[in-house]
Amino acid sequence: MIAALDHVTYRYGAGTTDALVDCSFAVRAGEVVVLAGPSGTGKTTILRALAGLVPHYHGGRLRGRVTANGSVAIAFQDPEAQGVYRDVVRDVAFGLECRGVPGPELWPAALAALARVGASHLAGRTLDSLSGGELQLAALAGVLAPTPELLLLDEPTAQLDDGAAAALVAHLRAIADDGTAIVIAEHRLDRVQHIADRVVQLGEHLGGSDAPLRSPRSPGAVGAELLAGRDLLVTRGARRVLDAQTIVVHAGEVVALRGANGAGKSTLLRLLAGLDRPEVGSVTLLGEDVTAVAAELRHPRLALVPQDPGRHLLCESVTDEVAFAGSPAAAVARSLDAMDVAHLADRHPRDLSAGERERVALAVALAVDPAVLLLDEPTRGMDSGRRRRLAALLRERASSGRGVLVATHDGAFGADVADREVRL
Amino acid sequence: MSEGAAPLPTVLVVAPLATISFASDDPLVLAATLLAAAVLLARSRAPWRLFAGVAGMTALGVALLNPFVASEGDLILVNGPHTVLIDLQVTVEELAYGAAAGVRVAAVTLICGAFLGLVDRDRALAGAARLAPRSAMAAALGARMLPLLRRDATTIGEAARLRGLATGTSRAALRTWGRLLVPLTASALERGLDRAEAMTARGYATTRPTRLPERALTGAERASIGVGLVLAFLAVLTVAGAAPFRYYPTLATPTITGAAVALATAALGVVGATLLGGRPR
Repeated sequence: MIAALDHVTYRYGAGTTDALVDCSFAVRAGEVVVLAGPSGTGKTTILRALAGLVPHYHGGRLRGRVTANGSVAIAFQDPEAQGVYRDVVRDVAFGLECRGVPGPELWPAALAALARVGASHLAGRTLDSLSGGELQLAALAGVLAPTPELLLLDEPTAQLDDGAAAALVAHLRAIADDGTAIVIAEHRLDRVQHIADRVVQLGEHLGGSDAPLRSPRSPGAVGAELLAGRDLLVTRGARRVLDAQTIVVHAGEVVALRGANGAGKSTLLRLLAGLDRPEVGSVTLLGEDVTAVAAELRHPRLALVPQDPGRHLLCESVTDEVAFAGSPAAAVARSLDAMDVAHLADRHPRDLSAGERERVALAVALAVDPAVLLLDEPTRGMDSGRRRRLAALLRERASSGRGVLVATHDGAFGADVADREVRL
Repeated sequence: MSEGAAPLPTVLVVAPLATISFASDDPLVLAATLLAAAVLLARSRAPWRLFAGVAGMTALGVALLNPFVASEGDLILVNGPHTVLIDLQVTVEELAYGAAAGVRVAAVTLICGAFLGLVDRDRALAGAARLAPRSAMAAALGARMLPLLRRDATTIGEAARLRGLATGTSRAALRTWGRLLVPLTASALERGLDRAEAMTARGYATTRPTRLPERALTGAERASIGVGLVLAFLAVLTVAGAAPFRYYPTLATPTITGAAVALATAALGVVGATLLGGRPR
């Protein structure tokens, strides 16, 4: 037995209910265990308990017994929270330094870890220059580098494109076969189920049917042009992040933006939202050329929910947060209900879990009822039930004449929600 | 490897400058440290407008406040009444002392900004980890708090812009930033905590750590160590009282020694900035 929880009950310091109730769970060497279940059923908490991070970093009270025999490494749900150094190779080497690996071996070992997750091209870059998916690969290299005996992964493929996810999962199976125990908390079961020795289902399964939400729209049946970016060019040093990219969103349609990690999806959304300006090209919003118009002046015609919206919350309560931009009370209440956060209305946003924060951020955008809604990886950390509800909500917006552009690696969600797909 | 100068030569240049700022009352010396700090900041990667703005505002506040909290000096400019909280009599000496204190605050602010912009932050964190080998929290907060604060200021500013609030340089923008101060502080603290948790999860303080071999010091960095050592000598002289100056009851005349220390400080600061600053503007 590598690690076990024995009748563990735990409540976070800021929590109003128990995150784990009399939970018993064990994992053996060489075993791959997948924790499945809706958001809020304790998957992340189990990983934190096995890593020895609760209650030390989160307060609260833990009852029961946690045992771990051997070295443990954990990859967090939010890869941005994982990084210690700015330089990618140096950051990957951090875990090796902490394990006392001799200095001359650190650099080659870190490069080898990057190669194992298919991220050799990230050597020489800094973490703050990486896309969400690239950050996730760097974080995974960092936890794989010290070859731990127990590897804990929280949504490890959430921001990876299909190719990178498949390669990672195959690598995980290989290291499990070499004796490493692996526990994966994952909503995208389709990506990890085939390597699992066991799938532990937590809480109530809200997955529902896998049938499509709607009939496919007939090609060409779209409304007026709402948002367009034409011939957009962005470079970072010698690298062309966007090269003469054109994208158009019409009234009544949901467009899925797809592409490999680092292809420029987030960069494109930032340009369209006005957070950055293109070096070449133009952006029009509701027929007006807004290329030189700042983001704050595109509000509320356009709203962007960025990749890590939980970091963007500004107020003291969830209700204040959603009403921040002056939305009417009725719209605030509707948005809270739509995103299933009405019961959290009086809580402080920073006391919420990552998934709850992301739903609050979505409610913020919905409350202003923008003509065009831009979403960057909105299903990260969402269970299948909530993904389907979000897809239905976005379809509803489209059918009322709004436009939606959603950057996503989640192929099933994209197929569920989008009228068409744009690949970068 | 990350960009930036090695921590040792950077500390050796900025720490004596800060010490001289704190230790000397001589207006020439203070002006020299301000000049050196400004050149260092301009040669660094730090957002110099931000630091210059903060330094200027703080210095102005200190300079304007002093005549109303001090009641010293012989040469009276305005003879107002004295109340319990505020002294409305303003003297030339109070104004001069306030200006000197403002210059001191501005110089130290610019020196902090210059250090953050010049140093290789990864190596600084590795150094901090050596100073606090058992506490991930101390190392993470000590070395990453200010960089995280800067990054969060960008993120939270963008969040406000996406909700229709201006964050440029207008009066509306100042109001916006007033509203954002609390979430900004909360976010930076939260990130610091996240960073400490990540360091613990990745094995910090579990065993005697090794270190990635660092690149050798460049010629410019070695030369800046020499500059730093001379600056340190000047700092010792200043602490020992080599450049005294009196503001009250009447202003003294600057001394030759003070002028010499000032000249040397400014010259060494500029040379240090040239040696350490990788990317001149």
